[in-house]
Amino acid sequence: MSAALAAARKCVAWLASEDELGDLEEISCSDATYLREATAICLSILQRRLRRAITQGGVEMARIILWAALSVAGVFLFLSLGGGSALVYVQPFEWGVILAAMLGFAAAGRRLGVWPVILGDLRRAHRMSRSDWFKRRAAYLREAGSSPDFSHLAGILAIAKQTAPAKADRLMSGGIALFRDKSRQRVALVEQTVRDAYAGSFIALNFGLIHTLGHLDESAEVIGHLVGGALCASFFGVILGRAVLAPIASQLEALYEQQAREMDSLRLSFGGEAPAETFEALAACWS
Amino acid sequence: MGFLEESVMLVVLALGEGAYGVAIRDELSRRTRKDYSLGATYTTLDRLHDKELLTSWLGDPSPERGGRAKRFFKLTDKGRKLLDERIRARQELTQDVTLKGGVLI
Repeated sequence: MSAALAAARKCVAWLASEDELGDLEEISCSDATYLREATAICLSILQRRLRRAITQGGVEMARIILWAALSVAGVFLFLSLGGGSALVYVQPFEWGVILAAMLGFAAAGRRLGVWPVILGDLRRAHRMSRSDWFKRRAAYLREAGSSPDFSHLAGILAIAKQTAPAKADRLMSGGIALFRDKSRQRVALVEQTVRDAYAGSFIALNFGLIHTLGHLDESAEVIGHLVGGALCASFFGVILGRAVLAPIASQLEALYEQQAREMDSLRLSFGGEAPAETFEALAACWS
Repeated sequence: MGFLEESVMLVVLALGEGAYGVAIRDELSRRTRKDYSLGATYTTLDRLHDKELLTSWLGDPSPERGGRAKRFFKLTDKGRKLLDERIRARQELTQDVTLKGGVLI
């Protein structure tokens, strides 16, 4: 039982917020009840996170997927109206080449590793795009803890109060510079993937034409299908790049800029300006 | 809004300034004569918070909680209005119903 209790304590300490940990600390109960309560708290936290991920991140991703699907459907529709065969777009080989190029032939591991972070940032982008974000933040700082969403701000301000203003300013400036560097790298990575998608379509086009040259003794229908497939490869890369990846890059850029501005407004508040007022001024600029 | 959400809102209203996790769970269990875990209480509180029916703030840290602060809850204006409508609707629905020996007639 003691091992199970220790594991439950670790789980709660890892997942739960400070006030939830305090609640669990406060209730005096048997080991079995503690274990039951700790398990229920962990499950409830996971349930809440899952619900938020579905309702917030899901909406963002669904919008991008829907936009891409509509673009593809539109092209297929025009092709069909013009009398062409939609089947010509079913080219697994070309799609494979483009996807491989997108992942980056030389740095696939690093690129794949950063995508979970980017998707997490996109999930936050949805929360931050709400128009009342700054107002709620300002209200939080004024009323001290009115929303758990911004509880980390109180921590930053508390640390800043205990530190000399010049030092706090220096530390925060360093943090902002580091954040800007990292965010630039992430946006650059997505933009590079967009360029790779274009390059991939060019490679796929060439491969498709080479593939066609090997079938010149076939009927005109077969050759026409192969040439059509090779030409369509360029379209795949453009769709992936422009309809899916470029919107992600621009959204990330806006999100990181917004976060950097917030941090900068906090840094200003160390110099004596009230943080709530700083946020309101920022909100006015932003809107 | 389900039964549990409505019950939690009523308990938060009844507890007033002292409505935090453990107190809400204890009062809810006492009034409904049913055991609720802290996890279930948090999930409901979180859902109500997301719907902007409740607001919360952190209190001062206390030694019996290992130096950790309590998160207090209170109803927002939207929450009060909704709860008021629900209570009125329930009163309307039950005004002609009477209990005799614990049985509805």
